[in-house]
Amino acid sequence: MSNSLNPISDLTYRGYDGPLASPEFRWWVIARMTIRKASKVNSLRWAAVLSAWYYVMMIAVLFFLQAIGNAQPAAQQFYQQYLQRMVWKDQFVYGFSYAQHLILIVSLVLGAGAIANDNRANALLVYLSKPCTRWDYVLGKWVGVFTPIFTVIAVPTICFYLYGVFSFKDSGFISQDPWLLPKMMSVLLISASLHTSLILAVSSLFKQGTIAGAVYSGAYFFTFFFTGLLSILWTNPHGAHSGLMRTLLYCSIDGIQIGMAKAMLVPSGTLAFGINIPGRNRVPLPIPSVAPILIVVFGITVVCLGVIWSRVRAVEVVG
Amino acid sequence: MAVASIRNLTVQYKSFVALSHFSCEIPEGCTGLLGPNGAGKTTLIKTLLGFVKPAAGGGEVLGMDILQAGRAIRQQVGLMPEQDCHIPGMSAVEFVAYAGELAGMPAHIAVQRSHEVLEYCGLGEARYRNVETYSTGMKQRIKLAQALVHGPKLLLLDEPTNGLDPAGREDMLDLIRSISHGKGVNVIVSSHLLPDIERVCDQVVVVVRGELRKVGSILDLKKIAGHPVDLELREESAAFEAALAASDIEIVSAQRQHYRIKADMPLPDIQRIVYSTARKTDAQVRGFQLAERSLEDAFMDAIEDPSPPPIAEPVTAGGER
Repeated sequence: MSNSLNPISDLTYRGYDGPLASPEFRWWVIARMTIRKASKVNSLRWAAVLSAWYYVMMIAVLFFLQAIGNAQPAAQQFYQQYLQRMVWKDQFVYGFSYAQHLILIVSLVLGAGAIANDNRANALLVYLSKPCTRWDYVLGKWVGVFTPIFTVIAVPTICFYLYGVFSFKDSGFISQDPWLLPKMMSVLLISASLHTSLILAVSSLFKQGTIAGAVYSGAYFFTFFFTGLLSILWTNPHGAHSGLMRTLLYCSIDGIQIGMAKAMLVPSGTLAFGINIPGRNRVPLPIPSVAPILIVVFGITVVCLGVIWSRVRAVEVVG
Repeated sequence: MAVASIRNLTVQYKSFVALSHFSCEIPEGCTGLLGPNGAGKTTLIKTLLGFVKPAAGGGEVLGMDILQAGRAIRQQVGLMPEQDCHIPGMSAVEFVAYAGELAGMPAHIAVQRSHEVLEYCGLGEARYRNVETYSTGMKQRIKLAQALVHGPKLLLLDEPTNGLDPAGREDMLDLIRSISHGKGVNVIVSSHLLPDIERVCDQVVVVVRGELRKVGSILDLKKIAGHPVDLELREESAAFEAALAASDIEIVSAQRQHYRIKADMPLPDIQRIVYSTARKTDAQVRGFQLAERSLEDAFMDAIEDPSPPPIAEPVTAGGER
């Protein structure tokens, strides 16, 4: 059979006269592809699941104590005291804080190569030769990284909140802080946007995702160990408590986010899982003020977006 | 209809003038953009795509204003850049389909079209391989495929045969020739490889130091002033030379049996005199053709020609034949 009779075998070039969407909202195509690629990464799924570990443990503890309490009257009294002592918003701050390292992994998987690998492969030539602008590219990448990060940290939080609303409404879950969910969502939105902006800014500076990831991890852990050391010194009753230390206590990538969560939720300082240790003698870390820390977070985000913007140049698309 | 009209375009990078009062009309078909390094070819392409704001002048691409409609132009234009470029971590099908989506195609149609275009570009059997594993020749083809996927009306090819081996180069030129002739796609090829341009293009635009130096069909450019004729005899003949010199025909040069002759008369008259002289002198004519110079000579002349370009009125590449 000749080629002309069989359209399947027709390998000659044929034009396309079908529909083409208007050039607006091209950023969404980029965001969708970034999310689609992220969803195929196995390590991301594991990190996402593990980041919920505190909430899962908390639910397990509550479930265990409730079950024991129902079986034994003595344990029931302990359980009731435990619930009376419980400050629910503190658990959200712990859940958020303990997930930070895993959010780092999620950010690295999603964002380290997002622009760096494009730089290596000259992908901007492809993007910008299509009806995409710098704005589309930057916004598309940002939304494509932000959305999964926010989903990873928001889903466990919302699940735990719903569990609390349905199970511990009578134990002050809502009455302790009726605005807990909006506050927590604000914290998560700001946190996800900070992580996204930081990792994309670092990514835009390099041509290898692995190097960008290494630099971001290095900056994260270097500042983490620095503020961790300061925290140890601060919580020691015999340690120094200078004004400078107080300022630097949250000067790390995870610290600034934990500080922001504390500033917005104002935790009471109870221990993780609502554990009570009688005679414990530690100086609590101070809670930073909302306005300065939000200004710092906003400033970092703006600087990062500026870095990304300056690294994406349409004029270099040819030659 | 011209695919691109450029009027008095001046592009500056700070104090450096990359394009100066550039006016030109590029007609439908396949046009070569020729010029030495730094001539302004790339700046011209950037400006046509709306990436560079001109200091003065303007123009249209496919009827759209380059100052106002950069995005709309890029939706109707396909660009095959000079450098290697792809989206990392994707197979060829995903990459080309994604390029289609970026151009505005619905996702499912983009995938279908991606298969078609990859087949056409000779990557049908490698379409599920990660693009990063491709050879140089395959990467050139995938660049062409991503530029073609959305069915552009104008294709801009920047050094399309860069880095290709001879066989790959032949294949690529065949592809370009095939696309640009009879498929409804207009092509502008920017290259410094004159044989490539000569092989696929019908007309050329020569840019030198940001100025339009020559524009027209390749056949016109290769013509020599005075329309001399190249003549070949079976063997050298002094009698033929003497008899020809006695007529109104001037022998410009003679190298053994090869002659270049010139006369101020129509070509059929020259032909009639040559054949009758050959008959009289028992010479045997083996070749008779209008002399033309190589495109390389024409290009070198254009580069060295210090005269200003003919830009009083917009010039049409291709012009008369």
